[in-house]
Amino acid sequence: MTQRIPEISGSSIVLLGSFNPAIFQPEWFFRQGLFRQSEAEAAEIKIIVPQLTHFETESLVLQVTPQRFAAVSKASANGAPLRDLVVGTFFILEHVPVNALGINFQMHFSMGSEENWHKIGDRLAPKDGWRGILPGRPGMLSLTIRTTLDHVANAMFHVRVEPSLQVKQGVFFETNEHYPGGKTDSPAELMGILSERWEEAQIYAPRVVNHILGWALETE
Amino acid sequence: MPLESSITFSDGLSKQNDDVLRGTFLGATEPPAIDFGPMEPVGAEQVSYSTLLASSVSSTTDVKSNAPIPKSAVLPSVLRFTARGTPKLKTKQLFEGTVIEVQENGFTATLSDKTNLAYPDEEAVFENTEISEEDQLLVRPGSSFYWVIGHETSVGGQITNVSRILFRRLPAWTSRKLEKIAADTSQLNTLFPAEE
Repeated sequence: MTQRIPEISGSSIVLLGSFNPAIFQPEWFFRQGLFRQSEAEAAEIKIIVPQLTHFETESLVLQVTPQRFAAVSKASANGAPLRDLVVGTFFILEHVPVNALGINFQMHFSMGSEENWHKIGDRLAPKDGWRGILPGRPGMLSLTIRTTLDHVANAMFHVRVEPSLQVKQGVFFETNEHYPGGKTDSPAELMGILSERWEEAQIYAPRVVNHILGWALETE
Repeated sequence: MPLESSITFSDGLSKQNDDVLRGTFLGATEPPAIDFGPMEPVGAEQVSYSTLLASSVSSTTDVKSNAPIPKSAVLPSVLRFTARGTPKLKTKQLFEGTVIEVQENGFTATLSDKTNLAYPDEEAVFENTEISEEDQLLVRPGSSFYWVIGHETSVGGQITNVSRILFRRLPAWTSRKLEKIAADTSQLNTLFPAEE
């Protein structure tokens, strides 16, 4: 089966823990060797206060609250350097408590026709039962599937499917690999998982999505 | 199932069904909002699943049989962004390269295809003009980089072929520690496999 390539794609790494948002400034990342100087200087800072940091560079968006660290690649960039940034950050900040890791990929696919677009929703969320009682044309707004991952204890995998708001006649998928931290809240183990899992996750996510699209679009 | 597992979803592109546009987050000078929180389930009620998954999506599906009770004060930290109005990159191929030899005006590197793992490694020669001045400082035997090949669609719809070389920035000492942690993690997974 030919792999469908998304029209728009992105990736993000989310950590849950206890953070000091004010630390995460573009200048800090440059001093630690994690940003180019030009990247740090050109960063667009939205806000940096004790409760919240948010800034954007050419390739990523970083948002940090006291409980959540999120690094998100922009649609204009490939997310490959994201792993290095997060791993590098939390090897430097090795004493910051981190208790969960999320590896996320977002993909918008064009279905090419309204018929195929409806077919996806109808296959994932059959409407037969709904049409009998609801007026109009019921449609799937959002669907999330959760399962466990075998390679790490208590790890989970989520897939979210929605109509795309950014691609005409498109479908949006987001995958999430969720890893809980160890008992010590040290980021080391989760960074090891991130380092080891990142490349495979980048391949696994579109494979899952392509499988679902292929299944949904096959002629019944 | 633990609820917290839901919230390592990114709040970025996935929060499409909100009407909040890019950059319209609330600043720190705003007074904290009072979080009324979801009502605790009563009887056969069930907390809205959309409430569990989406931290701050307003929904008219939440059932509240009594007046909402303030639970805490929270700083509004909702940040949404979309890919609208930004260039979009469609990656066709991603290589990870390792420099094996440096020449006067360029370098030779081995390339590992990350979009097609079954393909064998290749060797290629790059010129310094293909990388940024800052990244040129990182060119030395053993240093690694990403080579991204794809199509970029501008805001106006213009499609351009792109080839970008980005040298990896990972402090040297973390590379060694990284390898050790990865090895320890693999060993742990072997000794203590996930329960079925």
